[in-house]
Amino acid sequence: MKKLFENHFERTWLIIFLFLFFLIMIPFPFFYSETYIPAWGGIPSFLFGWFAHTAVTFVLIIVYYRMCMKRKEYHVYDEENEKGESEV
Amino acid sequence: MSEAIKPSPGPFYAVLIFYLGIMAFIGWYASRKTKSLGDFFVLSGKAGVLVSGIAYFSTQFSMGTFLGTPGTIFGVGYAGMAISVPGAVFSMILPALLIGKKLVTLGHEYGFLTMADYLSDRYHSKSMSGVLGIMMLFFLIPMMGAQIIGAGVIVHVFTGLPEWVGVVGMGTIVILYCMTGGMKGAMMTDVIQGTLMFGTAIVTFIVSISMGGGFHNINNTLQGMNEAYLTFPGANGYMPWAYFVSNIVLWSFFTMGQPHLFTKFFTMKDHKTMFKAILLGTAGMFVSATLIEWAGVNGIASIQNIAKADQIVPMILQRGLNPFLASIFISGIVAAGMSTIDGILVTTTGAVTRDIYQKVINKKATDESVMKLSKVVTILIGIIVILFGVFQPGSIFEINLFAFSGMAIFVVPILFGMYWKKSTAPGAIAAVVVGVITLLCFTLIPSVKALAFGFHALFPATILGGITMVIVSSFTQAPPEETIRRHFDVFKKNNNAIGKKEAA
Repeated sequence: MKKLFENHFERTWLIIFLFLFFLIMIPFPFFYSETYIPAWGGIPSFLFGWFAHTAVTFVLIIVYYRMCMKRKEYHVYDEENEKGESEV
Repeated sequence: MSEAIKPSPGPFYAVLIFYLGIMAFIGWYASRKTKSLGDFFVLSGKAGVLVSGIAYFSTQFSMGTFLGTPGTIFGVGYAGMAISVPGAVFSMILPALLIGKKLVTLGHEYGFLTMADYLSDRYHSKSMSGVLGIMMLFFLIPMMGAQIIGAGVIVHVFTGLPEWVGVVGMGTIVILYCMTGGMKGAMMTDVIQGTLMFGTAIVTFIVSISMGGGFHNINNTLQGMNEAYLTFPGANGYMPWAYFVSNIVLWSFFTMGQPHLFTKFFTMKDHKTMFKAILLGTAGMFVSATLIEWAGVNGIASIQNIAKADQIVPMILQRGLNPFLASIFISGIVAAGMSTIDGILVTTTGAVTRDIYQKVINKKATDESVMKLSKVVTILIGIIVILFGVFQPGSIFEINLFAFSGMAIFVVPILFGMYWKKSTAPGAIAAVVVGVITLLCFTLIPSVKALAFGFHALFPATILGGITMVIVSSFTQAPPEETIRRHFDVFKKNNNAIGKKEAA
């Protein structure tokens, strides 16, 4: 059961990030536009679409990092490093 | 020399000499701290967050990003920013999710130093090292050559001297600090270089907006010149949808095949470091790529009569700032090139000395003799790179893209090696050979290129490489069970160890 959960954890996050990865490739006008849709300052709106998508993905990376850090398998080498190896 | 270029050699030399002096000092300092082969190649897996994150970002981002890409975008408009911006956020998390976590574990458990260490062990075949070594020499030397061409462009714009002067000067400095400091020197200089690159991107962007008279003015001017600068596929039709998709995949997913980036996971001291490095590196890459590429678009509105598109960023800095400030920030671009070359130079040296010499030619060679040989090889490769930069067979972006694509084929043996127990060494070698031949055919032969429907040649190359891997592996002998167990059970072992610790 534990093994299944661990696989499930990794798989779920991989699916989330792959979904976002493929989402930005879809030619929605806010990601890819062949007509000029001006937004603030006359900047094409697809730039803001990319920025919003990046912000959401970045926040999810932080959430993923925090969830991983609560899991013991991500701390296997912490102890080894605390034994006196200097950080560069 | 183009009329648009206004050299200011005095301030440029003063700033550059000061900057290169710091780099040389770091190389010397790192050499005193480099005691073993592990230190030389991967810092003995002890790199912390700051070093790992910034080094990954500054190694991936190069002269290509800071000169070549804005130069390419200069002819395209906003659509050209799709080269890096929409995919930048995935450039570390995807490799980390798919292979990074496993590589940190494998590096700690088995002491792998290079991509060849991993591949030859996983496939139980020394020939994997040889194949990778040859491929690295074939593709990574041009990649370094592209960086060094950028140094020539900068020296030409700022001093009026011929481009070969910058090529030879930069080449010599990088050889010196890589030869003495190895990966420690490379990663320590990467921190300074990465920070400087970040600053350069911000300043270039601000200067470009100021020169253009603000966003409204710039975009009105662009619309007046040609509305296609503000839409897809861009003014010269460079970025149709298929190529938009290709770029997103190319600069994120395919970074896994780059030995100099792959190796960075072996340098990370633990998984926590890996995640923090992802956050730091991703933020650095996204902000730098967006701003420097956007500056290339803004430059269309304010700079004309340009002899070579690669000169756009140096010219924005030169025209918008006083000579001393312009020289300080241009050294950020020199930094981008140097930090990429140093990472690749150390990796390529490793390919020759460890992967070809120690593993194939002289298996009894001691680490000490390999270390000595590494310094000689660094000089020899450096000289070839300098010659490549002097003769310049293409634009920075074209050469960089070609070299990146060639190494990206290694995604096939890496991913199959990690996720499919039945993949074999003959399958992996055949996949790489088929992949490279396909890549060359789809790149060089126009009638074949048309069959890719606008997608980058790496797509068909990777698909055919993957199919070859499955077919050949199905008919050849898998590595010994012990090897497979070592590579796949190590993750279960860690989980069991945690279970036992909890029980105790």
